[in-house]
Amino acid sequence: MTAADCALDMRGISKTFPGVKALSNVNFSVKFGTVHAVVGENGAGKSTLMKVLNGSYAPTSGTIHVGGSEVRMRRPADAQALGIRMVHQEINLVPDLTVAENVYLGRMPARWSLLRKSEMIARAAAVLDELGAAINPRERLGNLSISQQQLVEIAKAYAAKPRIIVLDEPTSSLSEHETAALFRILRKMRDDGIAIVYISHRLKEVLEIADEVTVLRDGSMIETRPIHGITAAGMIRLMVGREVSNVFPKSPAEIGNSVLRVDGLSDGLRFRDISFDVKAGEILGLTGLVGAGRTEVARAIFGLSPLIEGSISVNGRKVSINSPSDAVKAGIAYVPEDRKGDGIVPGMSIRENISLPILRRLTRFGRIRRSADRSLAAGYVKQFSISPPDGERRINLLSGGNQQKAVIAKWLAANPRVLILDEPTRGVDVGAKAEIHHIIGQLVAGGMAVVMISSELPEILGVCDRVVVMRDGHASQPLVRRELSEERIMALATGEEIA
Amino acid sequence: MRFLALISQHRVAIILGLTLIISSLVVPGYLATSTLSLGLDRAATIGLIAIGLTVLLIAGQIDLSGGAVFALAGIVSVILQREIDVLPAAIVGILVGTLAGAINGLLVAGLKVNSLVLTLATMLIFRSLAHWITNSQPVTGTDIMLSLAFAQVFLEIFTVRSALFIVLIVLLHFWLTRTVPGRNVFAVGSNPVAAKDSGIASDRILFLGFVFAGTLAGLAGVLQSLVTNTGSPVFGSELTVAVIAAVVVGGTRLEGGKGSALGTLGGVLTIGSLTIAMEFQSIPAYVQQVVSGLILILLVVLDRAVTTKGRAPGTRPALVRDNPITQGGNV
Repeated sequence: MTAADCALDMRGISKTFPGVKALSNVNFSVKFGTVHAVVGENGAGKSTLMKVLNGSYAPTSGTIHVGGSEVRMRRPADAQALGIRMVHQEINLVPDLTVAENVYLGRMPARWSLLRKSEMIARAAAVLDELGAAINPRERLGNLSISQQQLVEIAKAYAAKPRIIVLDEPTSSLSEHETAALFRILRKMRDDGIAIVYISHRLKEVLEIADEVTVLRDGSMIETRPIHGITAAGMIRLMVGREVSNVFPKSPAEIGNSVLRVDGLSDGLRFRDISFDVKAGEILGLTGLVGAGRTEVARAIFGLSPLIEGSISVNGRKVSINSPSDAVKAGIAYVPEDRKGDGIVPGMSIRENISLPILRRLTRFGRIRRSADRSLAAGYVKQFSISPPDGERRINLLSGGNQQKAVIAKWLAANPRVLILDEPTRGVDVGAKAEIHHIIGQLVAGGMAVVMISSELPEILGVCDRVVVMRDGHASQPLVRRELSEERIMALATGEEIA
Repeated sequence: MRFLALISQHRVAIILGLTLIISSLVVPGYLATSTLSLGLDRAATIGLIAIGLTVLLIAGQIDLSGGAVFALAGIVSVILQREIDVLPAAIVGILVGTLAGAINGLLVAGLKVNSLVLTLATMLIFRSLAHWITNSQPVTGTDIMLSLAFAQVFLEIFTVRSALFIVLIVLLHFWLTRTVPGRNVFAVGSNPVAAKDSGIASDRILFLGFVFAGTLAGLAGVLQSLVTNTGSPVFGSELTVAVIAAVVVGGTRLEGGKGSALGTLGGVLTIGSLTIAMEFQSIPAYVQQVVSGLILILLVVLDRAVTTKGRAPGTRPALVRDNPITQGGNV
């Protein structure tokens, strides 16, 4: 490899924070015109490495070459000037500006600082069109769905005509359809000679899109390999340093009576005539493309949005649910998709988050019983092996997987009979995912009924006893295990028969 | 639903219209140009400070020190009239406002201090300075004839002060909607992290926002002193509340990212016409404040009702926002 082929060459990068060595002597290089995947568990150092690459962090030691010459980046603007663009996993856009203004944020076309609005809109429309995204550039960004916002993020990076583009979990809020579209875009960008760094937990996607893969573990680079000649199992082995025999353990729970039954649910807008039931000890999967109405159904069952038709029964008794507190009383718990927005209270500790819904029960004469509160949290921290095992730690300092475990614990504390999990493993690493699946397995073994919404087919296939597929607000008949296959589910989700 | 949304969209105009209609029914001769001219002149004081505050609120910050800067700048310009000419004295007075804004801006943007707490502190300091240099007594200027010049009405309705306010509002509207720095102010207020990651110099924008707000408060104070030929350490003590009320009535969001110059114009005119109507009815000042407070509560409640009902079921604000006012400074 000559210096000219090498878009990026990071040598001996270390980054130390007070008390923590986040990166240690990492070598990482990417060629122009290739897709280079970076995989590793949460906490392996991927994010830190990318923050060094985009100028957010200065490395403690090491050198960075971009396009053959050594560079020093002090802030994101420096990285951008060098043609490095980052697409974050968390959407990082301005909700109150238009799509076009977001695409050109920080570099809007102007003369004498007067905005050239029509030029900007035309250019944004062209970029969105090129990416195959049907989004109106004049729309206020905050009005778009999360997956559309993700596409705007990508359009923003692409519009800057970067030399190096870094995508951090770009598919975590995209449906399979949109993911396929994204991959077309990435291949086109690659063929244009752009160096693409692709961070993902989804190893299947990595195998599909990447030319090379680098594995990080515990802040060190373990290996860089061409993608042919490595398998998903091989990558997992390198990531965790051990063989994971079964990522999605099937729950062997005994299936009992029907616990939650919904009949003919409609909200008059996003879904219509939804019926299914979940039995004790059963995991019911609810899948479909993003936007098919899965989350909306769950939110309606939990009383977060109104229904215009249909009935909900728990243990054979009809319940009337107009608010989340009705749902909790009926024994339903809901762990939302947007963990940061709806699931956790960021400034509070793990303990405070867990006991939040049941504080009243822990209170005597208006005073919270500290010892009960502490032992409740400590119990879940231990049972779910939440790391670090310290109930007083602020929850937003935990990794995504551990936050998710704490959110599940919070709802279990309320003793629900039905647990609805919305994308419970979105954006968490392989190890934490297995742990969350293990927890779900324990719960159903204890007689809980679980509804799990997921876009990830391997997860649905591996974990669920029955699966309902949604498309455009309608639900399929439940499929039982022996009817399940990726092809069957995709056929139902897209409405396209597969020959 | 669509009807509510429409009302919500044009609510400033509707509120202003209702205020004018009700006032004209209650107050005889309310719609005479002489009354309106007086009301507009009165509103201009609130308005000049509101212009600066609109920019700051959109950027997710707040400035409570406007009323104190207003008093201080006026006092300086009046006292200096004994030493130098009126015009240079006025300019120095305005520059006092600029300096006060620069201090606020440096502390908020440079030291990442919460602007609510910081400007509360500088408000106390600037107000105390005003008392200190005047020995808590009003000071008078040298040229009483100037007041008459400033009270002169032209084109039937405008005074120097109100014309200046209208011109600045139009410029602000243009700046906020049509210039890159103007749009960047929205970006900084709506999502400071995204703005920063996109290479927008948020600290500079915040600093300049405070400088701008301080300068306008100084300008308003100097004009007030020229009009009354007086500088007083108690001037503008209730102004801050009226200004915030006007900007919020105008639809600018306290948490940043949303607001407009025309909305502020509507809010300022509403507060101004309300005040003048009540003064004409000889309603005591304390009752006036009660009425203003009640109207503000009513508006906020209405606004909340309309925006939550107007949203489609199952949707929610897509982004998690850190609240820059309560969390302090910029991120």
